[in-house]
Amino acid sequence: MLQHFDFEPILAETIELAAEAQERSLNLSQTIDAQHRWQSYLVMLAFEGFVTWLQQRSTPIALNRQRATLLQPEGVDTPAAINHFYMNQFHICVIVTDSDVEDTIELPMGVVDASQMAHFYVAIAVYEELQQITLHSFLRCDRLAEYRNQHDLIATSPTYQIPVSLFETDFDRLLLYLTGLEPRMLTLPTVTSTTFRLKQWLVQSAVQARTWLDQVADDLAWTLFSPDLSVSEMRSTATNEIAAILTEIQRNGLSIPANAQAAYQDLIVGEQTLRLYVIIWALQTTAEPEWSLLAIIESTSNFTDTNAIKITINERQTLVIEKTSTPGSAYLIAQIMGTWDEQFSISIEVATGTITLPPFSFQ
Amino acid sequence: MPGMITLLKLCQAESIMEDTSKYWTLVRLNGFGGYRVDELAIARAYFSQLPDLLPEEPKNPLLTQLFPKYQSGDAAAELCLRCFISHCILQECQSLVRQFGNYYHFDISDLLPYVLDDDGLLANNYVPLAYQILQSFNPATSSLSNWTGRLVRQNAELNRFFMEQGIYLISDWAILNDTKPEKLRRVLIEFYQWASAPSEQAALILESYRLVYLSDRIAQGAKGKCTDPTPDQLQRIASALHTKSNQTLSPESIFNQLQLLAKKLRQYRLERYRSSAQSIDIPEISREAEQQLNSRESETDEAQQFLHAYRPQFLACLDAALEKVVSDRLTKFKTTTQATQFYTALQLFHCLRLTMTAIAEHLNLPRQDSVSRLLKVKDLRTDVRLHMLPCLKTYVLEVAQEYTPTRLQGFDEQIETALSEQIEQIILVETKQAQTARNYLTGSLFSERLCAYLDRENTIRSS
Repeated sequence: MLQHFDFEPILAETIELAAEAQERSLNLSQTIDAQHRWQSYLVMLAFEGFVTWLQQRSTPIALNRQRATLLQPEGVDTPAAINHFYMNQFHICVIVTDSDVEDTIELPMGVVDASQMAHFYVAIAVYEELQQITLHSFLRCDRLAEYRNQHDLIATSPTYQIPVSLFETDFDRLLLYLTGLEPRMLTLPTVTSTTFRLKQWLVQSAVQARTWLDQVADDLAWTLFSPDLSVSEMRSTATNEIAAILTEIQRNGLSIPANAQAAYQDLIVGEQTLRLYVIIWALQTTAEPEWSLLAIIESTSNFTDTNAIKITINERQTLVIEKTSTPGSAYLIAQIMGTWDEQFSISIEVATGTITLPPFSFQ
Repeated sequence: MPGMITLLKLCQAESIMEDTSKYWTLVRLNGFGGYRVDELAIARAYFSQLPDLLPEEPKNPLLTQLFPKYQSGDAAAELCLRCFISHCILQECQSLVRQFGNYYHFDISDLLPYVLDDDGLLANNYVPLAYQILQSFNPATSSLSNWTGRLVRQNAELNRFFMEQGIYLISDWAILNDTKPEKLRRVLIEFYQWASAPSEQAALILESYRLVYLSDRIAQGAKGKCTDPTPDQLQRIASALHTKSNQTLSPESIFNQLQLLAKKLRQYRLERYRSSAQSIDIPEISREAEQQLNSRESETDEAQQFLHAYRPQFLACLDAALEKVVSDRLTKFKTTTQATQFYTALQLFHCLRLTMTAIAEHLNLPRQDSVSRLLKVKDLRTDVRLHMLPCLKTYVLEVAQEYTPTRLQGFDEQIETALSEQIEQIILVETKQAQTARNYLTGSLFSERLCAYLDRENTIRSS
């Protein structure tokens, strides 16, 4: 049973992925449901490779990956996408394209939807076997908009087929646009409402309570705060109301030790902005060591009506907690306890979408 | 006629002798980029005491003798096989050079160091490629020369080299992993003119394969080259296929079908490459291409006039950008040796105007494109221009307008034209004292300012 091996030309310079980048991609994709895993893995590699290339250059472009989210594909063979990656205020969306020569590039409908539209769509070819990528091409949103005005987009179920001719191949040109243009020069359509209910995954490292401090230094996604209510700093970093909530919780019997790890992060879920506070601490009182995770969601949108927020916490594949906010309340609180080897993953759902965070573990 | 027969036998004997020298001469690197062929006394002695060959014996009788002896632990037999393998390795490299060397600019001396690594010693701490070849060889499925050729082509370091040159040895399984069932269906119908039914069936087989293989690949950590599906995987693929289409195929049929589909896809892909208008670019530009950059015609244009009018600000922004980009670059190297190499290469290229080949010799780098990969002339130049943009905006109000993409491109091109300006006179007048005597060569404004920056850095470092 002999394999055939033959050489294929590679049409662009390849960028090699570091082992840590591959590991991050693997870890995140392993938390995603089985049927979406491969496409999610590929787009993670594409994203990491794109960032690697950017870091090899020396440009005056600020990179912000704190909000980067993976848009879960619809089906087994639908491409995933990673968007909300920001370069100098420009919204970038990364997708995977075939490494061979084709006439069209597939864009998942979710990322072309008005609420998710990016300034630039970056198509990356992934050579998974070799852990390398090439920069295939990129699409400027105004060229896409112009095309849509004149043609109906060819829709093959959950994706659009965009002609390759709309894409540009000189990535130095992309860097030029990002450096020299103002975002308002590339008009994005005004957002009325979302057409799709999007399932998104936050592209960040998993949180390990013990190393959270170090992570925050690198990642900048989380902002640490001290849950110690006696510390006045706490009142300035978080809102007064959170202080009140924590006071109330503790008055009701839950004690949060002074050495608890606490941080918050601002999230965009669907069309809502939320702030998620997470507080983690070890429990010493039980025979088998346990840890506790307290999650508080604060709605920070200008929504005045009651938009239900639902929090779901899973231990690996098992559902542990599901709670929905009570009407009129701007806060949703959930607490969970587990043994030190257990791992919890938080999903937050609103009417217009869901976002899942990378898992939290204690060690 | 007796004389004739003796002559014939002698010729036969001689030709057998020629062939068999492969079993007791070792091909090795010669330290000058080439190879040498040495006789190994142990191997020759061992070989000569092997039972005589008869012409009627099956092909490769020596292998059917030597290989079992090697397997039973005979070290001298192993040595003979390693000699033979070294010849096969050489042949395979020669074949690769014939096939690709011209177009992709490499020769045998580039390839041999990666795979010709056997020094012929019996006891070894180092495990040469020949060992791996022998240990994995199965005479039932292949000849030793084919197997050697295959493992040479699969060698990771060699493949890395090929990737750098722009060619990729893609496995069947990577092709199948890369292709969605819908695409396969389309390719079979449109490109190969298959009927609809077999195309659908093929798509289902691919779908079943992907279901099993891809999830296993992720679960196992996705490391390295894709290997053949295991019997267990093939069984699971067969089950998945049965669920989808009620068809029953044996695992072996499935394997063969998958290989057939991979072959079809491979041919399709190559055909697409051939027929597309894209040419294969060598990523980094050479000296000639850099000169092309410099010989751009100057355009009379608002922007161009403006750049002349604001020359001091332009130069200030250029100098600031050069310092930022070069010092940034230096921090990205993993070792100080590499950083120093880069720094030296910059000086040799921009100040002394040496060719990439000359720089390669100077720095002891194997090839010209190692230098271009190190210098990344085009990237550096672009990065400098990028840093200049916000700088120019702060200094000069006329520039701080809102650019459309097209106007921005135009402005960038004007900056590039200004950087390419040939400045013979200015070299004579403005150049600072250099450590090494420099001929007054024509250079671009870019090179001159970069060189001046490097000179300043040298002065600081040595003071």
